[in-house]
Amino acid sequence: MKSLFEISKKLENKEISSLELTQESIAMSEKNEHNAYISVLAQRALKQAKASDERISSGKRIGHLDGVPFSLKDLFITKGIRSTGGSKILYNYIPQYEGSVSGFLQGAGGVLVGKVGCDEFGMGSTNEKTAFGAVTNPFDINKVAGGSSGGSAASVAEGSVFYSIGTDTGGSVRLPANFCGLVGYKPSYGVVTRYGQMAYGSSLDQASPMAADVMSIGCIMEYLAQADANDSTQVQSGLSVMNELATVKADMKGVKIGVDPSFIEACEPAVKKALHEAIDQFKHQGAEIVEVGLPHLKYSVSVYYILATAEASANLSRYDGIHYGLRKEADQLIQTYTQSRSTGFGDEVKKRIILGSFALSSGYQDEYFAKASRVRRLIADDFKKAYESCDFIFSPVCATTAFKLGEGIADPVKMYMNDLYTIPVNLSGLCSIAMPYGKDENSMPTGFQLIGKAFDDKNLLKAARSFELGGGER
Amino acid sequence: MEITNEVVQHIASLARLEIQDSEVAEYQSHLQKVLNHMKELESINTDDVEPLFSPVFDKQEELSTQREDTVGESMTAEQVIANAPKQKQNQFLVEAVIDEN
Repeated sequence: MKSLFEISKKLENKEISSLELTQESIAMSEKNEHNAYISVLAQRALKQAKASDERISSGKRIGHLDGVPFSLKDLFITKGIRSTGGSKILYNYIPQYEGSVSGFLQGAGGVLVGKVGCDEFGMGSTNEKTAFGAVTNPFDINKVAGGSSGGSAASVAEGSVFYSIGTDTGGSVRLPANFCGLVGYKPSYGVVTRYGQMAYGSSLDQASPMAADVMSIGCIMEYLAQADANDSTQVQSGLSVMNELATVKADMKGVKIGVDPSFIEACEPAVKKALHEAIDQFKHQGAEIVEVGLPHLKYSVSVYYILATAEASANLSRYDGIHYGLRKEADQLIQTYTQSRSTGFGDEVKKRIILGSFALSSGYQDEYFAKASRVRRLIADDFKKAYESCDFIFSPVCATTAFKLGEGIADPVKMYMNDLYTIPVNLSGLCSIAMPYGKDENSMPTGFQLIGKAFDDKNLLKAARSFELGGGER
Repeated sequence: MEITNEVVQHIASLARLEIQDSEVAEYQSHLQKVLNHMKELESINTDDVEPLFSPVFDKQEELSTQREDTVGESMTAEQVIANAPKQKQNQFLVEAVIDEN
């Protein structure tokens, strides 16, 4: 795994060319050792690399991302490039317009090497629920990469690209980052545009980067958080933080970090050990640890799986076999809809559409959707109260390290509980950064997340950088 | 709430999905297990709690402005129709919905 920030300096100093980096990147992507890639864009990427080298040699480099190979979760719309969302229903879909995330990063000179795999439409925690085969973990190919942005995590961890953009609806960037030893950062809801991002849960979805370190995340956010008139929920664009990150010190005196000890106690021993050591490091750097209570967070899984699936059931109604994607012919229009959707969607997506439709159906809407929306506010209020006594909240990302492929699929509730620590952040619109820290007895990565207040993204990134300088793992 | 196979089939049909007879038991069990877990929400008092539908709803209201109604670029009919599985004369082609008689 290589740092975008470090390689960017080498490009700037002409110690290496974008063409060399891109050729190496394409060679690895085409090998596709962890099944991270759905599409490798070799010719196109080489062209972008050459253009970047020309800019660099004529002193017109655009910025940190210019010439650096990256990958995009296939949930992002890319003009003229197949965009599947990990679904059979979009197996042949070639967008006619450019999504904003793709446009912003390529506009900054980024070299798009490939589109990477994910759980279908972002629905899963293991990257096994996809029409394109499970993505495997670069630390152990018998284990999951985590999901839903597993292809993003594997492509960065295997070193075929320097960074990737995934989407985080309930932890879909932080969990795979945690399983693959990366930094994964979910911006506050409303910082990054959702235009050109296939919708799952619209009040929760947020495009989120993964990279080797916090400086690299800073480089990406300079471009990813640009203002976009096409998304009215983007209420606070712009996150220029590089100058400030450059002056951050390891000293964290005056910073208060909230911990709910019950969260840590519930984790498996190796994760627990790493969490305690990380807390010790924060203390060692001068931060003050304060105990906080977040009593409603234990209900997050129930709340999330009602609200996210309800939103998904509406969002996914657009796949009808008529406008684009897979179509199954039938005698009647309604049968064409039904056959196309039933053939095109995978099992997990169908199950979530049914759950969401049930939660919104006549007679049950109050009991499920309305109730969950009220508890959602109680969860957000828990955070507000906790932040009265601290600046950030320290939490596990997942109670375990990456598990074996095929494990745990049988019990849906057990599977959904993997998202317990990541979901509350999305429900409340907060920002959070997953940091790698420590390994278990099988050398599988673990780590923690630091959760910030809504729109306190800059301070969160600074705190994470400070931790990194204090000896946090790269 | 007890979920029967009929409930599953009814909800699926509302969502324009077809569940094969051989699959319905698995869908039923999935839905039942998840809904059983969700019962935990019943014990929480939410009488005086306003629902939260979006984390930025208040902020959006505050910012709510309408853009100028100006003519901009848009996709051509050919672009819009480009991915349609069936098309005719730049239009989406569907099965007849009006009886010829």
